[in-house]
Amino acid sequence: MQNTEQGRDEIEILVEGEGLAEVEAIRIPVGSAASEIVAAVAVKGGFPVEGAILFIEDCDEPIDLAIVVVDEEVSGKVHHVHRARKIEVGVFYQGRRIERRFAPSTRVQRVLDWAVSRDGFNIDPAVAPEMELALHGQTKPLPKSAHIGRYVRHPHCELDFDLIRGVVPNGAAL
Amino acid sequence: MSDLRPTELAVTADLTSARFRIGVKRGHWRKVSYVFPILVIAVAAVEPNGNSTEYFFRFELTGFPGTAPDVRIWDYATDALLAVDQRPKGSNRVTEAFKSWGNQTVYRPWDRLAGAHNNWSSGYPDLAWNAKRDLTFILEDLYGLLTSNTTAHGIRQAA
Repeated sequence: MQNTEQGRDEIEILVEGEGLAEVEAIRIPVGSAASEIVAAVAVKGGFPVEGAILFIEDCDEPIDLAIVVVDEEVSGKVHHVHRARKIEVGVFYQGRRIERRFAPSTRVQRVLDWAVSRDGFNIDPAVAPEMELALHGQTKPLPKSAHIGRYVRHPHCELDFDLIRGVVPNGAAL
Repeated sequence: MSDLRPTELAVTADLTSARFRIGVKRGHWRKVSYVFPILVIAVAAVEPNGNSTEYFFRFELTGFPGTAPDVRIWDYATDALLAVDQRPKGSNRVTEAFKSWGNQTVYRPWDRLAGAHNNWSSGYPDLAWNAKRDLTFILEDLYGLLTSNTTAHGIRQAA
């Protein structure tokens, strides 16, 4: 999105990251390098820019901070800035724990997909849509579009979830 | 001075918030029409076969945000409740949320009428409405329900 208010062209970037409670929109001048996104999120997240890494949502590999940000390429995509390159994720369900490494830009939905899959707990497809992820020891389902990196603060790079069944009507959970 | 003014301002603030706009930009929902106190929003959905679609929801916003929205699944073309046989399909959680019941609203704790039914909002404060909530809180819950078929479809495809 370009904004010509006050004579300046800007690009709106959707960002998540370390220290951010939810996805936010930031604006950077047209022609900026990707490092500008990192700098902006580092300020919001309260961490030093040195060593911070930039990802695109659900991409495992970081992107080059020297590239120039182009509106057509970033529109609608959510970026993620974190100091951790990988997060050790564990999921608990019925007394078992499975684990796997994910990039911090991974959506909760993607971790959930893995947890219910045959590589995870092999949940019955009829039941799988009722499953949610909560932070370990809690009962509040996490938003599936959230990036897991928002729940982790460097240098602590481990994150445990519980696989739970969502709330159904009549005030009861299955 | 009318007491509608702060209510309308609260709705406008929600519709222009970063949280709401981000959902629009991600394709999760879109505003269809708004003439206070009626707001219609389309929310993206995934059918059990994996096909993408969307459903319309009619929000009645009198007293917002102090009073919870009255939210109904809507047939925008006919300006009426969506026929039961055209409502979202999927897990029990999905079909129960969009079932036809006495008050005909979406059956979730944040809804004005459903939340009071059987007092079930008090048992689930994480999903209950309060004046600090915003419209995006509801939209995120609807979007989560309507795309929950994604998970089962992924398993079936991998099998």
